[in-house]
Amino acid sequence: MKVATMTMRGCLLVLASLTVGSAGGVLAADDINPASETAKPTEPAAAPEKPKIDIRKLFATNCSWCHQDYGMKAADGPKLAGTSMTEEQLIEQISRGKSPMPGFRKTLSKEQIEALAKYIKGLKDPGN
Amino acid sequence: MKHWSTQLTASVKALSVAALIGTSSAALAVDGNTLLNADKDPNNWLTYHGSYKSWHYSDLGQINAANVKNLKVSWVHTPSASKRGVQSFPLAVDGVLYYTSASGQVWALDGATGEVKWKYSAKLDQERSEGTFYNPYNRGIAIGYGNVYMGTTDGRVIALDMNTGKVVWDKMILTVEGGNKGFTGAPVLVKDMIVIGSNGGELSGCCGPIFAVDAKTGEVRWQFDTIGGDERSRASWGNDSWKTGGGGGWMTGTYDAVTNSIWWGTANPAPDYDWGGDDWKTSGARPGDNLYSSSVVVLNADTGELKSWFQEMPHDAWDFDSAVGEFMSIERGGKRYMVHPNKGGIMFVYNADPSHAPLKIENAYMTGKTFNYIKGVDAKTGQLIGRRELPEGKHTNVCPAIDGATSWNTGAYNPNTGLMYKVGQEWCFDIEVVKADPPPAFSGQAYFGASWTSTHPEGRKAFGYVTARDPISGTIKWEKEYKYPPLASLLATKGNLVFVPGANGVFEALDARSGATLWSHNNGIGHHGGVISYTAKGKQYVAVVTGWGSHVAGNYCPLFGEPFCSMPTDAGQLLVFALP
Repeated sequence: MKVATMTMRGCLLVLASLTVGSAGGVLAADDINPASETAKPTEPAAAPEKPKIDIRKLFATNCSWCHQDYGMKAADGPKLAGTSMTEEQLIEQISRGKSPMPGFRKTLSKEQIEALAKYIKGLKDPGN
Repeated sequence: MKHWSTQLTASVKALSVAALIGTSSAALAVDGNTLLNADKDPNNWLTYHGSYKSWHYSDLGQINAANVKNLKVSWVHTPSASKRGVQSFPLAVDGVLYYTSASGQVWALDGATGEVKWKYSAKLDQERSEGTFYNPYNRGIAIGYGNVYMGTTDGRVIALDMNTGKVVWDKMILTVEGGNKGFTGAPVLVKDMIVIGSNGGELSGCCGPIFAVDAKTGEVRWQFDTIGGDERSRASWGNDSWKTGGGGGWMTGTYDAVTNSIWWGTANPAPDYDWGGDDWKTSGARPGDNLYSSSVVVLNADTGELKSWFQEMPHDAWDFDSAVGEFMSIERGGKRYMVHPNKGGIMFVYNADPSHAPLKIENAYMTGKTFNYIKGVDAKTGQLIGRRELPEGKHTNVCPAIDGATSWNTGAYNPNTGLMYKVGQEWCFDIEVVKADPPPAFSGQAYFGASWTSTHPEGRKAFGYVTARDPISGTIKWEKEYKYPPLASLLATKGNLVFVPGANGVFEALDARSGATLWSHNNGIGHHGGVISYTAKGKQYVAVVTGWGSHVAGNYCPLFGEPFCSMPTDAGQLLVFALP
């Protein structure tokens, strides 16, 4: 039987260093890359920069089967833009799931889950 | 033929031994031998596909084209769990109906009255069970050796005493340490084994196993890894990408006793969408053909060894599984065929002799209409013509959508009309493929690689149809169009009827010869499960399950509006019809 042996640390290491994107040219989440704020020119040799999170890739890899158009349209899962849930509630639901939505706390890092929650909360509902 | 005869002799010997290992207190002791002749026993519905021939045909004619107008609801059963609807296929043995509902529930009901004989509710590992996108539904059971067998979303197979519902054995079969995979498809009884395939086409990690489990003890007899299990497979995944490759066999295959072979369809590779584009043979997320994903595999029933295969979607770039679809066994002019639909809307007609490796194609034809992911299929070789790759970036109006031109539910075949009846779906999507970062190997992590939006075909709204055609040549006899694509399985009967459970809740009986609508009844909610016919106390019944809420069903509200936007996704029933 094949079993999983990789850890979340491994997961974080393979995240690409790309910028926060926008979906369909209309979406814009707040900066979800706190690492970029902490880098100081006078301390270039400080702790290694945390990997940046490309939210579009992260969303497309994990969420797109149920939440279409980067969360802008309803399908099997609800439209996420304009959600009434708080960021904390989103973190809880992404982490633990709510059937039939799976929980992601075993497969995504805390930073990734927080980034997804922040991104979703930042989606503006176009009203369609 | 000598090759087949030799194997059949061995097969029959094995079945004779198998018949001795278990007994049932039911009047009909179902075992591997019984299932060999299931197509000659119209009173019972003994296995998911009706029989190993997978015709979804009932040789009962009490209800027929002349009197179906009088068909009425006889009784109804409402299960206590039905999130995402009831997607199960009932089985019927000696007038008792067995079926599953969501979250691992199994029901045994009096087939004439609906009286509950027993109920079983599995205690599931909820975190694992709900850790995938494939929950909490279940698509059916197998019956044999006095037991009812069910796979669970947390990776177990459970045997229940068919008379009492008590657990006979309960075994963890599929363990994936870092992720969550399980079973949603129905197992099939083969000889003295239960064969079942795992889900997980979208999940990082190999190996999408198909298992054969001892029907008496629950011990694993063999395991076939749909990806990464042999050198040929591993060599077809560049950069060891098989370790994050998905695969699986999430629906129910069949058994061919003539060659002692299991026929099974496999799931798509992960990521579903590969940013590599035209250079997929040498670059991208999973360079190469990605064997044996989106393929048909033929296995030695005793050992699980691969006899033959055919990859219907080499380097599947569209999530067009081969896991969907029945294997219709048809003999014509002394030649034996296996007819199998692919999700991309292609019907593959295979020579049933697996000594050809890869399998020999006898014909291949498109069943879809608005497709543009390929230009067509070579009828002689089964190879795709004019692929439309989906490299990193945006692509509009890709047809069909991820939901496929056909989905997991089955067609039907009537040997009297010689026609195969099959649902088709026409819809498209706009998609943006991203260069997704590979999840850790064997992690079980979701790995789609794209975001998309469902759309209509150019120039018209999405639609569906039921087509009656010659299964070998593909020649169409008649076709009936539906505003809302049906998603449920079909049933053909000796009474010249084709039962079509509709997406909008309307359950119809069509004339098998012309497609004319002879009867309909609104069941009040959409269908995307099974439909069967059986007898109880000498009377013919038709049983169908209802309920809505699959991934595919989720597109109906954005595409069609009502009645789908307000249709509940946590309701469903078993409805049984009979003549007064």
